[in-house]
Amino acid sequence: MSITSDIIRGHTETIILSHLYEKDSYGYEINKMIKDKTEHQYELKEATLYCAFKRLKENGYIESYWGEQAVGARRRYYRITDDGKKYYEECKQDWENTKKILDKLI
Amino acid sequence: MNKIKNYVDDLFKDIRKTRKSEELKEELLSDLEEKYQDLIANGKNEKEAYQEVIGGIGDVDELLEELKEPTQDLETRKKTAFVVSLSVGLYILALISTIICDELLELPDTISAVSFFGIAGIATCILIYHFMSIPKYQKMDDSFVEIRKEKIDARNKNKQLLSALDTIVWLLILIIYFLISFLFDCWYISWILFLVGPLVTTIVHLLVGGDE
Repeated sequence: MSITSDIIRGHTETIILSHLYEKDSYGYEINKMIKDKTEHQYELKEATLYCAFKRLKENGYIESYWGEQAVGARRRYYRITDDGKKYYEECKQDWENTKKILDKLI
Repeated sequence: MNKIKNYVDDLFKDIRKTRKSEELKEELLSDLEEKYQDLIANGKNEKEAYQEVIGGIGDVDELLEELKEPTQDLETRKKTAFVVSLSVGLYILALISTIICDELLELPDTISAVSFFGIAGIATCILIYHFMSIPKYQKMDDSFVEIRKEKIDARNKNKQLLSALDTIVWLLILIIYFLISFLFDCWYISWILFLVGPLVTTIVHLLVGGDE
């Protein structure tokens, strides 16, 4: 499990971009999606998530904006940029190659 | 719910309030609260939900590190240390040069006074230039916290200015004391200049810091 966690953590940014490719989203929603898709096996720490947001933002792969809520606190939403989409495709290709190589080795 | 807010407040307690840090705090809080609500809705009791939420935050050190004090302050402090030590060095040099001119080379008093006055003058100029040119607190964004901070900063700067002026007044009096005493050889009476000091500083305070 810890090896799995390490590998997943190495792809945090790609996972976030993959989700934002479909629609704009915010921190908790992305984490909930990860939890649901992995059937409660995996979940990001908030600190890891925000660090990834910060790096993606600094590189110009995502943008953020505040979404007004009818009830409760406002949320910070993230949107993928064109550069982000390109970067996501590269990361995905990279992962496909890694998978192929690992399949040959293991 | 309030327990989560308290916990987040505590995480941010050493962080300077800027727009960036306040927004990060707001984002974290709204994410955590939604997670808490979800856990409650899924049948967790309050204590379990709270613990899972707090446990899920992880290590925020890296995230908060860059929100701490800007490095610019450090650079200004280094520059101030350099300028002050340079000036103090020059003041000492001024005294030494006077002694050398007067005692060793036995030059006229005027020359030793001029050398003292010249070197001490340069040192004073460097000090004044440095403290006048230190950048004011730079407003990073338009949040009210920044504006308030800038006001406090302006007030502190006024205080700094006053104490810098005090130093200058006293140094000037010292210089004038030596100059007059050497030139007119009136040591028996020239000490009276030091009584003028408090008078001058009080007047300066009244003129500059009228609003205090």
